[in-house]
Amino acid sequence: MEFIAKKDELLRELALIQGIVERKNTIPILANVLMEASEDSVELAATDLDVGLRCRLSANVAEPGALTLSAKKLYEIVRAVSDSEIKLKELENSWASIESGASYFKMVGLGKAEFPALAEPPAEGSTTIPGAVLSELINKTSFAITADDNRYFLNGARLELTDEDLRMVATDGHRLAYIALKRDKDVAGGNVSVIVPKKTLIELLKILGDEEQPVNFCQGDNHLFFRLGERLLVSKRVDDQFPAYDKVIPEGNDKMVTCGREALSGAIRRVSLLANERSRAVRFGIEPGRVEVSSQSPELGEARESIDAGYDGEAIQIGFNGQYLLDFLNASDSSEVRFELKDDSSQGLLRPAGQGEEKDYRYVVMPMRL
Amino acid sequence: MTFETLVGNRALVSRLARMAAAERVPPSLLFSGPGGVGKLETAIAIAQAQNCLTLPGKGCGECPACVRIHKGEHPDVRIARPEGAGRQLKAESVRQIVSEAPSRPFEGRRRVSIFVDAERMNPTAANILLKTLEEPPPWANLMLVTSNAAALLPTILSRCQVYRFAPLAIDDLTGQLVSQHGMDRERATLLAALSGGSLNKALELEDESLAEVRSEALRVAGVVVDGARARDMVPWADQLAKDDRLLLLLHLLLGILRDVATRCAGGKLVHQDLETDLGRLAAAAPLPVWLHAYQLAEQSLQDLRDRYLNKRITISKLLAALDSASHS
Repeated sequence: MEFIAKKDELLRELALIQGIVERKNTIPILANVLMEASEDSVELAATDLDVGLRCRLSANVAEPGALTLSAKKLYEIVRAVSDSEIKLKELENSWASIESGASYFKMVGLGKAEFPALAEPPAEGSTTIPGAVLSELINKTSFAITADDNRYFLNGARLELTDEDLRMVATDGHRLAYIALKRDKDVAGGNVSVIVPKKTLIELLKILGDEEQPVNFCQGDNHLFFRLGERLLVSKRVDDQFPAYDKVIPEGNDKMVTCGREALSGAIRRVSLLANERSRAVRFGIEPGRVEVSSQSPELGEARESIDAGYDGEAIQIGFNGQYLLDFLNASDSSEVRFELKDDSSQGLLRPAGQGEEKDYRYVVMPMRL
Repeated sequence: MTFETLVGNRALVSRLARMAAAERVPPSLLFSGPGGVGKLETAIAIAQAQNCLTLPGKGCGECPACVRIHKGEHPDVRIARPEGAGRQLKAESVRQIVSEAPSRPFEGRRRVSIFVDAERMNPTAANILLKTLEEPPPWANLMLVTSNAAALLPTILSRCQVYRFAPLAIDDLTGQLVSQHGMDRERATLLAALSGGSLNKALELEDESLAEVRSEALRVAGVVVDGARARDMVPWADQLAKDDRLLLLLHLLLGILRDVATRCAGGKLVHQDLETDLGRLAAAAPLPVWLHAYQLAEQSLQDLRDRYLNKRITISKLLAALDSASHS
């Protein structure tokens, strides 16, 4: 194998691959990136078995072939060299030389045979989602995914495409983020209902970046595929029952409190400084016209702050994990949010105030006993 | 490593091979039996048959998938082994495998997890495994390999289908030593006989200066009929106790005593080249004496190997007991 590629292009793809390569080191070759040169392009591939990325860049290929090299070292070398072009050549025994300008590197590699085979997407049944829409879905829900839970189905967000809308739901059992966007002409394809693992969502966001490009999604027997231009993200499929989230989202919470998003998040941020560090419990004293946010912990002391709020019902006291509310307030972009409550022991519902028909963003939080 | 290259336990192995071919391998399997009889190799052969690219259901042993399974580098076939100073099958590695089980296979058809020396799991690790073992996902197979099934938790045992592997037949083992390890037939026959049907044991024995140790073991066996003069016994025991091949010597002594007893009863000998010596011993004392001597030697071996008793005292005691064996 021998090819010459542009440094910038190679660096851009290798940077994306850094997030993918295996750190657990269960199989040594997973720390490597697979390079396959053919005709006028080079395909790069890496995986940690949970998620894999394949990308292609144009190159001047002198000799087709395939080789794997340490993804981290190759990235560092490509980033460090000063010339704008890089020549990579396979030597004997899976070694490779990298030349750029006056620099010369010789790296030990591994043959292609030991690299796990990345799955191929099926030819049919794909769905197209605009990149910006997918970004919004992920940004507004992914924070509610659990980090490490034995309930594997919670380690991802559910993506649903129905005839009417496109939804993403994530929950960790204490809170649930739900967003549904009305389906428009840019969304094409049949109905979908899958759980997308958290790492896949994070890598998807990185690849989406600021680029406005459509994402082509399809599912194989064992994998999910997201194609973005020349890049293909292959994710493992989480096969399990996602909780019946529609039963969790409360209907008929009749106490509606409207307040400024930034005022509320600022108050919570300040007051939680003296909240119990483990529970992060913050108390909300809601009465007509205002909300008093307060916290106390026996070791630290107490804090409180009042903000104006649109409310005219009876007074109510309720506690929530301050961090959970901040997560939602930070992800949301409206100027006002609406709290919908029933009583002090039922789940609270939050949503941006004045949402249009196109968007339905909701957030359910379990209350805390005070 | 395919079903065809496996040696011994033919009925059992071909039953498993048929299950693999029919894609009906039970999801949770336990292979028990002495070390070195092909339990792990069988488990690997099943994993290969399940994921082979060229001969699905059979396993070719040569395609990239089979090769990587054999090397332990296939993404869907995980082999957990005891590690560290305590030789424990760590909770961490069990947890890792359990957490991967719910995801479908990465590139193969079945996700296979093999636990080597499963009895080295402590209760924490074993309990992590229970749920997955009870109800593996439809695409997963778990195989536990152990040479000491009695040390497994009953909760583990009850969740597995157990297949018992027998020691390898001497002829099978001899054949394998000759064909796969390039030994000459005479030496292979001897090692096979001494190993008690375990390939690992036979290969371990290969390095030792067998003949020398065996003739010493024969001298010890002779104590039963010739007696040992009291004043010789102490320096002899000292000398034996200092030899780092003492365990091997006891193993060989067991074999010799077994042969003498077999000779008394008129059976087939393992140490056929020692026929004259063994015949002389068999003629000098009746069968019960040799059976008793065998028990004494076995007890000493256990004392040394499992209970770490003082070597000098144990061996002196054995010599004295053998000396008086024919009188009691």
